[in-house]
Amino acid sequence: MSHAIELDDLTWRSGGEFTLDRLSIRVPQGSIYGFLGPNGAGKSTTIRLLMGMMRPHGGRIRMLDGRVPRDLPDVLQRVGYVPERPHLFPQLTVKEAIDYHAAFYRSWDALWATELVERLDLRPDQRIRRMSKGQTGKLMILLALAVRPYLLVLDEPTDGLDPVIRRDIMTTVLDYVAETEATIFISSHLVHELERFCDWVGVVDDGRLITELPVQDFKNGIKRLRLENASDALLQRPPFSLLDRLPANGIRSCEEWVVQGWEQPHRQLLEREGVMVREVVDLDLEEGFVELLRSTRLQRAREDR
Amino acid sequence: MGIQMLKLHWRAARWPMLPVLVAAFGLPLMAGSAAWGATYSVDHLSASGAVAVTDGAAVFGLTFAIVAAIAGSILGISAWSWDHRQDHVYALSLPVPRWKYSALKFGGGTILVGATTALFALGATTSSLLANLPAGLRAYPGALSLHFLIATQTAFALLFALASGTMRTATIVLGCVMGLAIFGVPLLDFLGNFWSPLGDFDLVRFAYATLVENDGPLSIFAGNWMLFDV
Repeated sequence: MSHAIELDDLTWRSGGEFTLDRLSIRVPQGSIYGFLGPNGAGKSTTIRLLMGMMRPHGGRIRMLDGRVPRDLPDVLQRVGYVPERPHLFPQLTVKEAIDYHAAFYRSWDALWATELVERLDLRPDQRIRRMSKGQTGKLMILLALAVRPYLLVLDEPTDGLDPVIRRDIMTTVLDYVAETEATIFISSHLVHELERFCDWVGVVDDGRLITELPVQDFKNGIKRLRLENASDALLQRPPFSLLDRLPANGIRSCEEWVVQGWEQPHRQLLEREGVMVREVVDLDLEEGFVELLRSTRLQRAREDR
Repeated sequence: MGIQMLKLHWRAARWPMLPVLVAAFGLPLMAGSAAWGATYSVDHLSASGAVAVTDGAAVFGLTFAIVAAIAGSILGISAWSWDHRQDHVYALSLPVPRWKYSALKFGGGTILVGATTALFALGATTSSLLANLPAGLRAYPGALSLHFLIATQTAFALLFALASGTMRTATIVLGCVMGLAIFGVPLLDFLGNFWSPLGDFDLVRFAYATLVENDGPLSIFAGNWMLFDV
């Protein structure tokens, strides 16, 4: 499988503290890769390193078969980028911003840019500083798409936007991907939003990659089990990872386990040990993400002690 | 790319530059206005007429240097002001090498310096054409405009380089200059109590002599700024 983005042992320190610690990521070509993590996890730092805005202290970055930062100008010709915060010059009008941006890209599609202005309901003569957050977000997406990129790098593109504009923006992006099979690398902490269209997911916390796998595997592997007669003996050599364990109490009639790596044969295994599996509940991406983060942090805290 | 960069630079600089452009065009006109349509009696010594004209023009010499310094400074600072406000994220995400982006910016600024000088030259030439000079005096609109161009470009290049760094770098450089200007003289006086040669050292005079006189880097701002001369 070829990869649009390959990060190997990427390390970056901020003032002596580790911000990214040997981060390795593979983004398959043509995939929609959700880069998840809580605020301050290192998502935007990773993207800035990827875009060559900062130099890593260690590791290797490859993007669209080019080395970063060595081949950066050539690579960036094929990348559409939407940063976390609006980065456009506020005194320009929409048309001026488009003209300015277009001048830097060989593959700029002027006709499509004009179509997108109409589709995204932007006014060419409107000044950027007078535009709402949603309109600015639309303009940034327009600029990223009209480059006709092979790779879209979106850093929290819909953060703080209302649902209607979020849908407009994501629909436009997904239409483009459907048409061109471009790769999307999208970071967000709005996990439920990514669940609808991502096919790969990477979870990062505290500058470290926790997991990276297809979304379907992620969702299938993490389950909430409702058990009766659960015993500690079973946990000596469990066939799955136990992310969380909630004992029965006044609210819960039976014990609940959140597990990763669940497979159907595990049910028989538990029942042979005398544990009754009352229910196996599928978790959505957000619940799975939260449980995974919680267990990773607990484990790290235990290791630090 | 170059044209877009030029447009962007003009958009960032245009409001503070407007009065400077008016001054660049108007001051040479005012400098020569004393000699417009002047008549000199045959029996009158032409030297006294010449002195009146050159004195009139000399008054404006310093203002030309000031306008050049202001124009260059505005263009130098405004070259990077929008980039600083966006933390350079936009510039760094564009598919151009950093040196090329800086060169394009510098090129755009240089064209604007050229445009400012063109207005100055237009004012100086118009003033020279309207002037009736006494015998022995000549107008130098070309040489004066060249002087203005080099001075403006010097100020532009200096401020462009200073503003291209981070806010921290600019603060350190300006802080050192301000610190020397404010505390340098009393500090040297104080140190002079322990080592007498330091007490005799004139810091302001030294800085002026090093930077402005004796072919220093800012010597272009001194020298002859005369529109009319012998």
